[in-house]
Amino acid sequence: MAIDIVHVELGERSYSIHIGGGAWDLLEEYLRGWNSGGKVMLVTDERVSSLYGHRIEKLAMAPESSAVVVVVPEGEGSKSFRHLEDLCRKMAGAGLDRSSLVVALGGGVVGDLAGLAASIYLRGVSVIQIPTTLLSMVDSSTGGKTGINLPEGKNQVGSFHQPQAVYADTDVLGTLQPRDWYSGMAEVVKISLTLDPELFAYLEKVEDLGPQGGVDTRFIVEAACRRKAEVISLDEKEAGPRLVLNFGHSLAHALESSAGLGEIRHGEAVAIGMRAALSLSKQMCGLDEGQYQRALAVVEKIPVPEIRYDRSLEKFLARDKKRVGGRVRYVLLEDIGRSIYVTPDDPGILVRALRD
Amino acid sequence: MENGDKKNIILTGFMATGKTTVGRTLASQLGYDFVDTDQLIESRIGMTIAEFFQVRGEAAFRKMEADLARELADKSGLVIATGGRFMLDGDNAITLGKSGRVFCLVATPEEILQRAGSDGHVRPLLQVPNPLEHIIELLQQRKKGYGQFPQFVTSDKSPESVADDLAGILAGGPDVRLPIAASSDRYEFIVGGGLLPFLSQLAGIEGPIAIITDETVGSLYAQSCGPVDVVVTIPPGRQHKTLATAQSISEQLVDADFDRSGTIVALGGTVISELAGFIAATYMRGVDCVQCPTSLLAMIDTSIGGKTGVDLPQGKNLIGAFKQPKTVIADVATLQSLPPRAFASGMAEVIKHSLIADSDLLRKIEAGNWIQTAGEIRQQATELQALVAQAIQVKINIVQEDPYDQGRRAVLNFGHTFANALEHLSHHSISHGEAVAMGMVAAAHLSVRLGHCTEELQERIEAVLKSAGLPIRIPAALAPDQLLKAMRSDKKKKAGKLRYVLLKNIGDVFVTDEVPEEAVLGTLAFLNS
Repeated sequence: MAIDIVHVELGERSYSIHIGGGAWDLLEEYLRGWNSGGKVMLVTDERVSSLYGHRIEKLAMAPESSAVVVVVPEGEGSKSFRHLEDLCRKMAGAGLDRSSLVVALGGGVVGDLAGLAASIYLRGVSVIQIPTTLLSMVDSSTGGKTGINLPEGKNQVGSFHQPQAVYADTDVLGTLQPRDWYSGMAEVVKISLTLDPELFAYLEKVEDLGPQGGVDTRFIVEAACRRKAEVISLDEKEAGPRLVLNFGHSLAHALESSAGLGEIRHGEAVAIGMRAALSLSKQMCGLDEGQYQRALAVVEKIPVPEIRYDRSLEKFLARDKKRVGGRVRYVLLEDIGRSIYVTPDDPGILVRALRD
Repeated sequence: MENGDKKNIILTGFMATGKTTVGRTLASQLGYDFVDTDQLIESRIGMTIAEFFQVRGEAAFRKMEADLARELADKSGLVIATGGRFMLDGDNAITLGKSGRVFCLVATPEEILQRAGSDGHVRPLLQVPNPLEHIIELLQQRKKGYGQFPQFVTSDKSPESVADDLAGILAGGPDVRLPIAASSDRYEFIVGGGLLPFLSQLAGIEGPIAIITDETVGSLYAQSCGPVDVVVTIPPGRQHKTLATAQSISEQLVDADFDRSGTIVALGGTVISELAGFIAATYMRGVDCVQCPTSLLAMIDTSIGGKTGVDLPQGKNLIGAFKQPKTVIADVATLQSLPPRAFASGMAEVIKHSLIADSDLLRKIEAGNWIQTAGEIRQQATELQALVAQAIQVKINIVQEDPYDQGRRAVLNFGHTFANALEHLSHHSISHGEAVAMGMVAAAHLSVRLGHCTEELQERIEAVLKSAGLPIRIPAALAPDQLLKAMRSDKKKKAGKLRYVLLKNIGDVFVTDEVPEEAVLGTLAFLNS
């Protein structure tokens, strides 16, 4: 079993991301060493539970963990106050105390919801993230961001709660639907454009970025996690450098809210957001035409659905969390691997950049 | 008193808000000299300001105002009524502001028009076809400029009563500023009388402000906090400290376009302090928070230490976060409106702090009369302020040693292992402070039973609690075995074991999970009257 380890340096909140085929098995080892006396609760969703029922059962039955298993409905709808409260009540009902551990097994929805519940239950209990999608492996499982949605917008309520460890088992990616695969690949492309020219060169070289295209998953997950870990070490709470990870995201969040939560994949929205951000980078930040074409070519390897433009898009854009004093800040590119922040007077400029 | 000891009092505000009349009244009340900048300038130039504008132009007039600001800033013992735009100049505001305290008088546009028309002055600003509209427009333009100063509404009030209000604020003792360093965060706990109008200056708030309060406190004090962007009000009562309320408040904040650059102000008692703190910790993954506790309990116990939370059906504060405030502003003037039972409840925490760490504080409590009635508390305003500050200092010292509640901070739970179960089992008909009082007696009794302290100490504790109007026996309806069961479901147990804070002497407490259940049941049976 070849496992890469990426260390996230955050002082006393430091932890490791274990990446590779079979990384999930390391959890059992971790739980054997888990001797705080506190209970273990495993949170997962219906899809993961039906795919990996036997493995989950084995964890639940193991004498060293005897985990309580909670299964939440699949999909973005579970990131709500209702499900958060439901999960917290189950934690109290199962007798979890401060020495307990929550294991989030699933995609971004499970990781965000269980991560938030773990961060507020008894003012914080430990959590381990086991991402089962490419998107959650390269994005949401690392960095400690948790959150739920309000009807008014995505991730409007949440916290920063770093996990004890992340186990990214690349073997489970084989069961992903193509749309979910591409959704994660969009975040890999984002990291390559903003932070990693070498990773970009690799993505440029591989013709087919789809699930059957022969991409070296361990390599791209490792590269993406390493870059993300570096940024997080500099800026845990998104006060500055971490904002770079929001490339393409201002429009993406607005698109997701406007389309109705769950209608469009996060990564698809990010891919669309990146197209607009690249065009704006050319107009506003001097991104060279040649580099623009190269970047766009890689972004366009990710298929995206047709989207409708309506007025709600600009309304949601104005509600973006990254705005300061009422104005939205965008991450744009000066070159591949080099980003800057821009605050245009008119937030609608991004929507127009997309339409043109 | 020499004039040199008296800081200036500077009044600003739109025309006809009463600066001159109120200023003159206030000056004679306090024995200060009175200056009206417009009148002083007119006497020096030998013509009216309107004439001077025509002859020399506005710039020359503003220059005279700037010179006057520097001149008056070197003096003291003055009540200064300034011209309408005098303090809107940034340099004047800084120069003159340093020499004392600035207050802004405000009135409704209708009242301004009515007063301006009846005082005999010629007001060039109002020589327009629709003066009311013009006033509204000007007020809008100057909103931000005036908004930087604490606001005093003069509508429907006599100049005497406005002057009385101002004198009341000025008469309060000097603010006590207690610095706090918790983990990487540093902030100040400010204790004083009449602080709320200075909220944004004291806390150094620059962005939008959202007040979260309840109907009771909000109706009394939300208007006193200066200009704010949104006020979210919830019904009073512990039953609203839920995730459902947190959701509703978060949605209202989003609807008000309140963003990450904003500051949440928690204005209220413990429920608001913990609920609003929790929202500040989770809204947009965290925004700044200023705690303005308005009950004694919230001042002493809740607003410091960064603990926030909401309840679940299974128990109190099972949900929460650590959120250190940007500043805590404890305005002891708000304690005037506290019902006596709530005041006593807060005294339980003051007494707790004296028992765990400060024998001098205990002697002060024993020497004073701290049963609250409206009259007495006014009489003892400065003593009360000092008492609050000393009790808070105990908590600051402990929290600073242990910001994340890993060890030492557990001594603050003295009496609480019992108290939380008492509250829960009585369905909160016993208040938190009353439960803490009973819990401290139980902890003392248990300490005597286990041979850690003397019976005299227990009696001393019972006596001081009783003198503050607090109960020292557990109601008969709450049976010992039920209480123990409720204690077991409390979150403060570690890996299944109940933890107790026991007492050896005043200021000498320790945490233990090695207490036989028979001893606990014995203590509960003894106190079950």
